[in-house]
Amino acid sequence: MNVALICSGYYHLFAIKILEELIKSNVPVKAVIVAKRTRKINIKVIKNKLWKFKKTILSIGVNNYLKMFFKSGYEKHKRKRELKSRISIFDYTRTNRIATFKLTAINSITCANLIKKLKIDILINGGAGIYDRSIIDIKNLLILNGHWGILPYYRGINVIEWAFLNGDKLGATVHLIDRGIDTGDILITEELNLVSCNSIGDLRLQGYNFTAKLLAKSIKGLLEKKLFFISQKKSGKYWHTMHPKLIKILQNKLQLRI
Amino acid sequence: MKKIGILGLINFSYLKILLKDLLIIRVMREINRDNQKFIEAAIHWISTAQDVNLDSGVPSSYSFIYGWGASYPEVTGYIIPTFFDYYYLTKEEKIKKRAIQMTNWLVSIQFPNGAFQEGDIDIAPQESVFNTGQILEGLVRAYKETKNINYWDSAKKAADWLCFSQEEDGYWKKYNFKQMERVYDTRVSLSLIKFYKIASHENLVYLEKAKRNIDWAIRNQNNNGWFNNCDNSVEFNLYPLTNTIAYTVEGILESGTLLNDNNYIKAAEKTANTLLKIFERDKILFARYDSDWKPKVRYVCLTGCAQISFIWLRLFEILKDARYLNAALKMNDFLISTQDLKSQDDGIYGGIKGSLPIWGSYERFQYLSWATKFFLDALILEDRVMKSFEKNECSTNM
Repeated sequence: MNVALICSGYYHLFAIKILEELIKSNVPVKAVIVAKRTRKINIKVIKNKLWKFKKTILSIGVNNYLKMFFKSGYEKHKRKRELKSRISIFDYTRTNRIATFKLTAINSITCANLIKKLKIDILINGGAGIYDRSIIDIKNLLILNGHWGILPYYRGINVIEWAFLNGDKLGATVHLIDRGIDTGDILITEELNLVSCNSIGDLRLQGYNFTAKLLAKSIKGLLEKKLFFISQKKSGKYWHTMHPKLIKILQNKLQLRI
Repeated sequence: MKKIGILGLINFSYLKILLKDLLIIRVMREINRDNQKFIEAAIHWISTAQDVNLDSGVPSSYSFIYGWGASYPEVTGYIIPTFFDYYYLTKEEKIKKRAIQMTNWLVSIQFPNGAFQEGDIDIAPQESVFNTGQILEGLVRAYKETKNINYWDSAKKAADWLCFSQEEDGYWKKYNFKQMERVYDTRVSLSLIKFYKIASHENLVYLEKAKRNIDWAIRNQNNNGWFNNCDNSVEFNLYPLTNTIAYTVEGILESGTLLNDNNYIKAAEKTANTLLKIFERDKILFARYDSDWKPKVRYVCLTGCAQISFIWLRLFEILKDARYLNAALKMNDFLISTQDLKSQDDGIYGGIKGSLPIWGSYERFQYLSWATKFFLDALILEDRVMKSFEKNECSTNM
């Protein structure tokens, strides 16, 4: 079976971590596909973005939006500079002689054709956004995702934070990507035992390191036919971005663990 | 009611509000806000409103064109429990005194048959089921707080009239606004249940009538949580207001809680969950939605938003599902950003508008007493819920 990793961004930390773990686990990676963005820019995408922008402005107001924009813009710029001082995914692919392909967009005919041309059977999502039907519907392609929460109880975002705040088990799930969000068949779920964690940053770092390791382990298991897919229960909960007041409570809870 | 006229819009305070809404400028957000000043400002607005007319009732609104309105019995009725809740937070006797004054006024305007009237006090008196139901809630609370027998008598008369005027199938129609049978009368049923609870279970008819109505309302609920017969108009009934949707859900939810009825709670949760998904996706709730939950207008009904926030907070209290708390906190952030704490105008300072922008079709160019009341309820409940949440009172999701 041919395995490929796909991500958006040359310095995507999660994708780099997954590739590291795959190499450590001796999983043969045929190719790494890196795209600039998830979607090609067209009228529909622009219309959707404009509508989303309008709703955000109506919700928080122009002044709050500008404040947020400049603050996050500065932080994004700072982070970009910091990332560029680190190694990129190309450093790994060059060292390990893995074929690398650069594309404009993940959800595109170019990407779909490339996947078919390379005869990829397992596509590992290294942080590439939401896939559309052009990729999901490719025949005989399994798109695997490492989710930082135990499905189906923790679908959505900030899930490791939510699980900790609720006092629930932390863990990760490797599952198929289908047309829903975090609804695909599950390959493996494992619990995470937190090790001396006193900040949200620490929590997330442990979460994604664990998820990357689990992804590599599960692909090995799949290739060796030791693991199989199980359908998710229909009922699950979607979690959304955490409000700052709850983030503060979470931070206090983490600090009490010391 | 004093008519200032359209020229009244040429007023610096009003122009400032209009300009802010045109440019979509909101109050700057504080990340870890303390609700005390917002609550105090809202209480100040309602207290100022109560002092405008000499009858101790609360006017419906402050309008840019008409100024302060006449006293509005329905809204005065359901402001009473809010004022008692605030009294327990602050122990300010003047707040309790205001609530009692409101109650005394309501008792004095009750019809001999037990009903209360539709609309403002200065319109031709006409019985109204919904308004009687809301006033009943206030009377019940006032009786519980003071044990004044006059309040009990008034509440019983109102409850008896509500039972008398219900149709066979469980809805109200004859004395409803425009004689329409509507699901938001579940809030009337809720008041009947509250009355039944203090009536020492004397007469099961209050409970039976209430349940019959709620069951009828639930039969009008779609699988996706939307309700038929939910708007207070005929022309917009296919896209009801979030205000009337919230009345319906609140009536079903609180009745379910009082009666320990899981089916009622589940029915309320179905709608609340759909609204949560829409809000988390869109970051805003528009004023009207069709049966596929597509927004049909581009303005916001702030009353509906405040009510929905309250419903989410109550669902968090009941189900311990932190997603509801999360959404309510975000919604309260939004509501607070629309409250003006800088205006020198008493009709604006601390109040909550009908629509956002203020020229939206829901109570255009007005600051509403009921919007401010529901805003208060949402913030007071948020404070209570956050206190218990910080003490780790959240159950597992798995």
